[in-house]
Amino acid sequence: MLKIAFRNIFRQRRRTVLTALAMIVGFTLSSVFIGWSDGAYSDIISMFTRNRIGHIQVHRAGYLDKPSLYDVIEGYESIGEKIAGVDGVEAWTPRIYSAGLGSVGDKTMGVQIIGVDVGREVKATQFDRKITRGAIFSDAAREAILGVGLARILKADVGREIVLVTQGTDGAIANDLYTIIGIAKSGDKATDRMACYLHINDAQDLLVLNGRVHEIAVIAEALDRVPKITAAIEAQINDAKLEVSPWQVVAKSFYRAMQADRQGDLIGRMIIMLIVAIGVLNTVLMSVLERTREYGVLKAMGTKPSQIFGVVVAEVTFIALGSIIIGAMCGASLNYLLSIYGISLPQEFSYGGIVFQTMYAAVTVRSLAIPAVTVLVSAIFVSLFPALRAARIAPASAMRTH
Amino acid sequence: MRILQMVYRLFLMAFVILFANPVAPLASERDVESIVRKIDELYRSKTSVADMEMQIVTPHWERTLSLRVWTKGMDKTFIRIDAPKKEKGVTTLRIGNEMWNYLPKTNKVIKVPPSMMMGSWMGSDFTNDDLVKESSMLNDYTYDLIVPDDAQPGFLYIRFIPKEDSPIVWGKLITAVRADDLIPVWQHFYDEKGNLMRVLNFKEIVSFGGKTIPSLMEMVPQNKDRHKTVMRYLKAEFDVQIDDDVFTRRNLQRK
Repeated sequence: MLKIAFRNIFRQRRRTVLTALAMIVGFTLSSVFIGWSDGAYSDIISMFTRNRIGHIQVHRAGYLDKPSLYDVIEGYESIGEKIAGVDGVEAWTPRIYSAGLGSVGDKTMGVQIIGVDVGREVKATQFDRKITRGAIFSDAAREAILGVGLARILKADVGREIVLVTQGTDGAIANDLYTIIGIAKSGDKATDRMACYLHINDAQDLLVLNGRVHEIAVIAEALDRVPKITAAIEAQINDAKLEVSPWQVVAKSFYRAMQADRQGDLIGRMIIMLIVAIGVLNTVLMSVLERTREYGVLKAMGTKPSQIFGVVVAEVTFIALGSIIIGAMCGASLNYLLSIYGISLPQEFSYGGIVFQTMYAAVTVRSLAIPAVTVLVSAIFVSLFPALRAARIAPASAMRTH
Repeated sequence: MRILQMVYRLFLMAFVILFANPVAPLASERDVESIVRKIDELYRSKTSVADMEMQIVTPHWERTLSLRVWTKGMDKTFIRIDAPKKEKGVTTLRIGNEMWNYLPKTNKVIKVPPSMMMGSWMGSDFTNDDLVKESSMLNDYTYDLIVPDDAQPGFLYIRFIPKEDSPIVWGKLITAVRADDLIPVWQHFYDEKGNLMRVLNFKEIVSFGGKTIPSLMEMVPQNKDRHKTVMRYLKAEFDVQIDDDVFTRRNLQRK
């Protein structure tokens, strides 16, 4: 019976090629579609986490819900050492946050004061790459780096001085003068409009924090190991006053928006698969109708309806399997090419405040497995109706058709 | 029949006057206006010079600032901090709707942007706007006398609603004043959703050179736990001669 199915496949090459082509194109399309969106999402996530918030953050419990100058982490150096000892942790970096007024010349704006440990921040989030003008912190005291948007608003540039006014933890009005040594572009417009980076020691002096910090950001070696590493850090620190949160919690709204977006992708994928399924149904139905007479003869010779049914289904299944193999090769290589070269977008596109100019695809198991399953299932499913039709043919009338 | 109707009407009027509106004798438009004017000018005269103490209490720290405050008319204010040491010499100048702070440590005069007017003044529970009181109750609000559910005898209650084109952020204000001398007792600030946001209490009524004012103002924010700021007049002089030179940006940096 399988032999007959095989023979049918090769007997009518053109028909087979047409059916297979529908499946191959469908497979490749949906594979690229998935690879593309996987690539874009993992780019977005890695830009968002790796370059900004980190994969995991440690705060005083409750800080994330309601950040306060007074909710500090004591002895962050030793906690950092503990975190560094956890398997899978690539880097960690401490941060200080406060709000204040920044004044350059006669322009004044509300700013976000961010204290960073330069060496660690560079290692963890490649802070040096964000500097678009000027330089990164040297060892000199009282240097400031402004976000690009803030610099524009304050009409400030490298070499000028900025006065920061804020309130220290002692309640007194804190103010000091800083030299602007660099302009930074984080890729997030909202941050860049507010951010004024200081060296961590200067920030601690200004805010009277006495060696304390608000946040420790942790970079994991791999994104998919974040949940495990989060748990491991929690166990290692073992302090009820501190809270260890993965990026999904830190950037809750960003994460949710992205999940919702991926749901939207599912619909696109289903539409592609529906088109493929209709194409397959069409060719299989045609090939069965074409051979009505043949099936009539088979029936007349005593072939059981179930055998005829089996022949048709087997035929389609073989074509589907062949198409999947070819489609997988096409899809994977296309995705691979796109993952290297990417496609530059005609217009900048921003997601969650991150600006993209080039989109890259990714070769993932998902991008091959999902289309494979859909092509196979939909091919078998649509072959059932023509197969049933062939099986039910009345030999006498069938043999009379030409 | 007619007579009966008239009697009934008279009776109704008497009833309305007697019970529904216990402040009827004061309720005319002009009288409310005079109360509001009184509130507006309570701490203001043509000029004033005062020594004040500002005590700020938060869960994390407690501190007291000594201030000297000069005012002229409704639109000029100058404040200098004399203690503690860390803030000594910090000055604030406001003319009309513009405001500047001078910080001796950095030797800089910083103009307070309009967006920061509702921000805290020197870490207290008073906003920049409170301190320099640009908004005039008389001009920026519509007002009427009300009788709240928990009204106490001997007090009048005035409701203030910001005029539509005013920059005021509050939804409404309610001020209680003593009926006999019209001195305010408290002021409640509500947001636009009608939530009570802060309570300003007026206490310790003292006479300074013929002007009777509550010498203590206590601001209690309702959305921050265990925070309050108490401002106390230690010494005040009203309607004295003040040189116009005081209200200049040059004076900010004068030692």
